[in-house]
Amino acid sequence: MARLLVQLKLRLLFNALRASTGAKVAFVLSTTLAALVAGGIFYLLSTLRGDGIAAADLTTVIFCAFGIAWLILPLVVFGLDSTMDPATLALYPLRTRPLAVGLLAASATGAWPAATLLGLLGVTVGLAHGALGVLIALLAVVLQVLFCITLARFVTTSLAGMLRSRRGKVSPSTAHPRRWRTESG
Amino acid sequence: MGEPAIAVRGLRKSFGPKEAVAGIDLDIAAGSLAGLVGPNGAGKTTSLSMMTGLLRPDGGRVLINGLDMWADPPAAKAVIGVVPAEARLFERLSGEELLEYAGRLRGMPASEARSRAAQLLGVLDLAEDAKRLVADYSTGMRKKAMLGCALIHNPSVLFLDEPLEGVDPVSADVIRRLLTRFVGSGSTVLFSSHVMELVEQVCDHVSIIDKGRIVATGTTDEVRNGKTLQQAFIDLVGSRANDEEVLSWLGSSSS
Repeated sequence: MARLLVQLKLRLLFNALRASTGAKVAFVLSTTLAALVAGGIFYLLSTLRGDGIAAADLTTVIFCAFGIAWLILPLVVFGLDSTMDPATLALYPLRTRPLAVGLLAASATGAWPAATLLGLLGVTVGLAHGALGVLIALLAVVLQVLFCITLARFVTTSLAGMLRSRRGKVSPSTAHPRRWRTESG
Repeated sequence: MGEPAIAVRGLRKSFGPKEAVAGIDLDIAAGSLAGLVGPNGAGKTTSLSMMTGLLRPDGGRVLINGLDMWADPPAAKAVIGVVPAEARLFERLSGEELLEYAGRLRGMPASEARSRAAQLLGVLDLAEDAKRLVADYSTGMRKKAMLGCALIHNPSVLFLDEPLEGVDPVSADVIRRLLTRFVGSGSTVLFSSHVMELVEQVCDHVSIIDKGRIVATGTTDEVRNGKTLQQAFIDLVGSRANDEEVLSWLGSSSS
């Protein structure tokens, strides 16, 4: 199931890129930015090594900032991405657990989840001491990335539901041109 | 005749204080082409959504070939196909990809899903548009694509909500013939509509729903009772026209 949904996500992404030049440009810019963020955060986190308590505090702040960014930015910057709206899958005979894992895997497929993962891995250099420390750091990074993705997914899906209901359609913050077109289609 | 293909018992749903579906019972025998008719807001879509596992009922049961839809949704969903009224499709897939993924999401191997998708697109008269994105499809093409998705796993029961709404006559004919052929092979179809002529022509079983209740159900001839279905429907549901005096100004443009 996870593999199929990741394939579906990639197919949707590929088709969107093929359809318009604007989407291609946006994709290249977004991926470049993601790579810069990944590199920058990794560097920042790794240079904290040896700063003691300040390092721990700053790392905590950066981890929190990523959580908040994932909460807000997907809506503000990219608009509502309903490509993998679970409601589209409601007709299919899918069990909840494999579906949840599959959707999480599909959401994790992309430049920004990868950038978050790579950037936060800087903590293994900046804060971790010894093999056990690195192990815990790795675990923390993976959990943080999953948390960010789930959080973004939660916000997007709840807003997509609100948008679809007849009453929600006039809410100004959700008046996104692309959504209007698909709604009327 | 064994157990019905669709059995509904005491199905209820309220939205706040409004009772949208007020306890309906329905039995549809296997192999029938059944119509569910009713005025706007009578509860057709709500009923169909609950029967197809899209909307959780407040009470009652839905059995598809004896499988309880709300006790084990995936098992019951596996044997049905659904064409909902409001299209929620993967807009950025081409027609052929959409049908292929519909098959694969139901556990079919990719090669099998692809070959069935190609055949269905041919029958649905969509072969020429198979490579276009679904986002660029017209209403009729979307309905046909949805029908293809609903049939790709050869379901034993097919549900359609207003299948011909906004569909041009040519596409409507394609859909109608496919449904008739599907039922001819022993499968079951239940669809909602408010186009009486259509229901009268193609359905062997009709149920009339009004204000969340089934007010008549049976073979088309029983429900018609010697009249046209249109007339029987108006008699049962009641013409809501009370227009003679109120709209006295309407129609005479002299003043």
